[in-house]
Amino acid sequence: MNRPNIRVSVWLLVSAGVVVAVATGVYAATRVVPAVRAIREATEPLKAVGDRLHEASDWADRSTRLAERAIADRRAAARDALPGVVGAYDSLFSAPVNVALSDSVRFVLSQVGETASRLAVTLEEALALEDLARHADALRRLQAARQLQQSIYQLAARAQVGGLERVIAAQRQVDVLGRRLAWVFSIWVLGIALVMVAAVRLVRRRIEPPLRELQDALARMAEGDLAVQLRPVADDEIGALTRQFNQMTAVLRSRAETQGQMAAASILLADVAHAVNNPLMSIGATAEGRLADPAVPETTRREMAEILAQSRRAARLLEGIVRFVRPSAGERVAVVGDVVRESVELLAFQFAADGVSCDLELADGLPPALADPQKFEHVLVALLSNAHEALVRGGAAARPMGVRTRREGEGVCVEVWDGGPGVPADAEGRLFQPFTSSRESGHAGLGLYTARRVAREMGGDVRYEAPAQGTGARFLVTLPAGPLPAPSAVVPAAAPGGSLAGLRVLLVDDEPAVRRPLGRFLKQRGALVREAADGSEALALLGAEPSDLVVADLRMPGMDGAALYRALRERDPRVAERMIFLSGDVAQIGEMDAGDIAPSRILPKPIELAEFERFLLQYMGF
Amino acid sequence: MLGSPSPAAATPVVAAVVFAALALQAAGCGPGAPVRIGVVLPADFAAAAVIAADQLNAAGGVRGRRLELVRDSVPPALPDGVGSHIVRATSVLRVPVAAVIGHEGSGSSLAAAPVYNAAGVVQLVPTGTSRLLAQTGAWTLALAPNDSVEGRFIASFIRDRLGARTVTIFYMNTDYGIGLRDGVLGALTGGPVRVVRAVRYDQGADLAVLVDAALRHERPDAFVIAGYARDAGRIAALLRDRRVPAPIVAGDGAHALPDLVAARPDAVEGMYVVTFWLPGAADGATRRTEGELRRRLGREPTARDAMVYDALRLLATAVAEVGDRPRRVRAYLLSLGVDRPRYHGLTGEIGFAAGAGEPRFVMGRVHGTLVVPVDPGAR
Repeated sequence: MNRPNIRVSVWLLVSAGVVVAVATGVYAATRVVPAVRAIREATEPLKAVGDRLHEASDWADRSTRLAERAIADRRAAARDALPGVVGAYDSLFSAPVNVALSDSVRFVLSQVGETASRLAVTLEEALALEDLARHADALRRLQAARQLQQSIYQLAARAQVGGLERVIAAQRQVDVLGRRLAWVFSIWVLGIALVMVAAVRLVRRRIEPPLRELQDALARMAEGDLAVQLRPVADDEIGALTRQFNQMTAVLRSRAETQGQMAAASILLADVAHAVNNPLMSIGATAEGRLADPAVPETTRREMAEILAQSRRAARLLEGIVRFVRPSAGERVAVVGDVVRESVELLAFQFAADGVSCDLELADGLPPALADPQKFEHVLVALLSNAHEALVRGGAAARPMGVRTRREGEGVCVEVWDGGPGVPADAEGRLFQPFTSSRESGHAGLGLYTARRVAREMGGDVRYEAPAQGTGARFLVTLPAGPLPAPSAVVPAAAPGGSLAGLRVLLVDDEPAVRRPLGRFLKQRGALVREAADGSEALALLGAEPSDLVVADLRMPGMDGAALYRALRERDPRVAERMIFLSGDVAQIGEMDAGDIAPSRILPKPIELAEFERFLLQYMGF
Repeated sequence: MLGSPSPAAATPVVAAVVFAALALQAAGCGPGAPVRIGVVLPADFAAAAVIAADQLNAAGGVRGRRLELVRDSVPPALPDGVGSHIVRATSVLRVPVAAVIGHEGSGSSLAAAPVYNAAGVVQLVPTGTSRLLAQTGAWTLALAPNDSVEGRFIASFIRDRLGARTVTIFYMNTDYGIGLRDGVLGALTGGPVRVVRAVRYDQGADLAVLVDAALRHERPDAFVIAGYARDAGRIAALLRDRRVPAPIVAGDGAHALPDLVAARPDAVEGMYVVTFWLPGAADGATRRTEGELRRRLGREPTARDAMVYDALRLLATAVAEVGDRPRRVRAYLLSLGVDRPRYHGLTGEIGFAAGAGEPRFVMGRVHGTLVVPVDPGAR
């Protein structure tokens, strides 16, 4: 379990960003906004007070000047205009100043109002005195009015200074705020820079190098280097990625090694098959020869029959194994029953060894599958092996399994079932994932994955179904069905009516143990048999005396069968056309160039003597 | 015990509740804390509030809470003026109060209004009539109708009851005086009554000069005095000294008999005075209240006493209904005559929303040391 360090780090970085953003907002709301409000609160009253004081001062000035002209200068026009000008006082203070004023400013403002009121009344008195022809008294009132006007000036100045003080105080507050903001923003910038540095370091130290290594490793893998391994890094997401990469390359390396071993084993198996088929041919032919001898006692005959049966069984097994490992021949149609039987037969020995009974229920009239038989067999062998392994691992005494075939929709279905412990419900979803294997199996866990992949490549599928009741498992292979073969009248092959008597046969095989029983058998059939150990010897014999038929082993030291054929084709094409071949290398038969030697002229070793005779008669047209 | 909190778990809860109660108690907001209402009025003016508070406390207080009047305190040396009203307002807000009754008139109330509006405390002005009170802030509410309404009432009386065709106005150069002058002028403009002069004065004015100048050109059929009692008495005396017999009608500001009659009782005899209320109610409960006021004040109760009395009873009712938080008190007052019935007080039906209150004016006439109703049926 890795620690999600990188995710946590990224979250921390994002959170730090959010904190910085929120802190900026909070700071602005708690520090900047109040300061701005303070400035507004300071300037707004100042404007209101300033307007009010300006109007009051202006009114006082105009009223006093007009009164001087009316009273001191005795101007009639001024006298008439004075009440209206003085009366303008009423509108000066007709509306309250509805802004936040400091008590001192409001106090001064009220003093201005009171003084203006006194001035208005004083001017009213001066006019009244002038009306009463008390000019001297009126002048004295005028003098008082001038003093009141000066008082208004002074009070207005005080009020404005008071207002300015508020502005100055707000300005100081702004200055302090500015310095504090500079300090705070410096810290924020430093903090953000540190966060950025941390982010860059995180990327450069924790993310970039491992990713670069991973990129290089992938490039090396693409070039075929499966031994590449990443060095372990921190216990985080990158570390998990590194471990998974190393695990993946280990699996790929193991698979490559396995495939290499399989390829080598395939080649080795071909050699082994050839080496084993020759003695099997010898054993089988010898046994057949003895069985054909009426003079052989009954006890010996039974022994020979047993030897013959075992050699044939060994030959079939070997043939199946070789077929299984050889490359596909590219066929497109598979007879389902045949593939099933061959697959089961391939594993029959293991089944028998582990006490597993495999029951076959093959449907009649099943169409062929549109599939490569060899790949089809691979799929079935994988499923059969899986069932076999499950039964053995289950440990039960009774180990039943089986194969059923049936039609399913437009295709064919092969069901491989077993009575084992079954698949746990929680493991069903992972059955076909690669590298899914029980720990005790020791396998790479690719069997079911590969089986499904191969089936799907052929247009089919492999699926799992839990059994309706009881334990066990059911794997179903579905494949598209091909057309049913046209029914043909079963005409038993007519037994060749001819005889080998008098036929001049040259047997060419480097194995005396093969040559001898075949030669003996042919001689018993009346043929005139000569033997050669290789192609060169055969050419020499043919040069001395012609033969009607040449039977040559394809694989011999020195000049092998193919070389002999090519040599004869140049020297005596008639003889070359009467040449058939034996081969213990089954794979070789399939690989033989059709333009050179037709596969129909090649007999696999071992072969039953009767079959051998039938083939010769048929080939010679007897 | 199933379902019961353990003592250990309950302890923090109990502690929190006790702490909260103590904190509320300390803040004067707890259920047992007294209900505090500020009163910023001269002692004689505030006497009616004290009487109302005593009555309420004797009856069990406001929902069990004692009613406590918070009085302003100002340095004795502080000169009278706008500054003093600001200091008074600030001093009464030194403790949390549900509302404040004050100040004495329109001018002082307007001067102090910014303090209450800034603090978010209702300023209930008992007798101020200036139209500016409605503009000075949301927390300033006037109990009396404004001066333009009073001006129309006076104009109507001059024209219809006195039959005058010319009138001279003496008005105090304050918001009250100017407002009342404008109310009268507005009501008379375009009508049969001509305003000969409107004479401005203040407390320091040479009233004799102003009166002589006013009488020099034309003697009107009637005079209106928009000012306070002492100046109204002096102007009346000056007029009578100059043998001017024309009737004098004074605004509500003159309805303070000791001041009005201080200069010359004979000069103000027969003067018409506008008031919001006069004693002599018909119903028993009001008569008992009048009697109580009369007994406690040691004199005949005036409209000013009745308005202050109503102001305190109204605020106590508001607190009883919605609690003593100033915002709730203000909401309650504004809902009178809208969402709630108008408050029935000594001076009539009280409401603060537009059209919620009826103009409550009575025209009285000075008779000896009393003001008696001109029309006994109208109180």
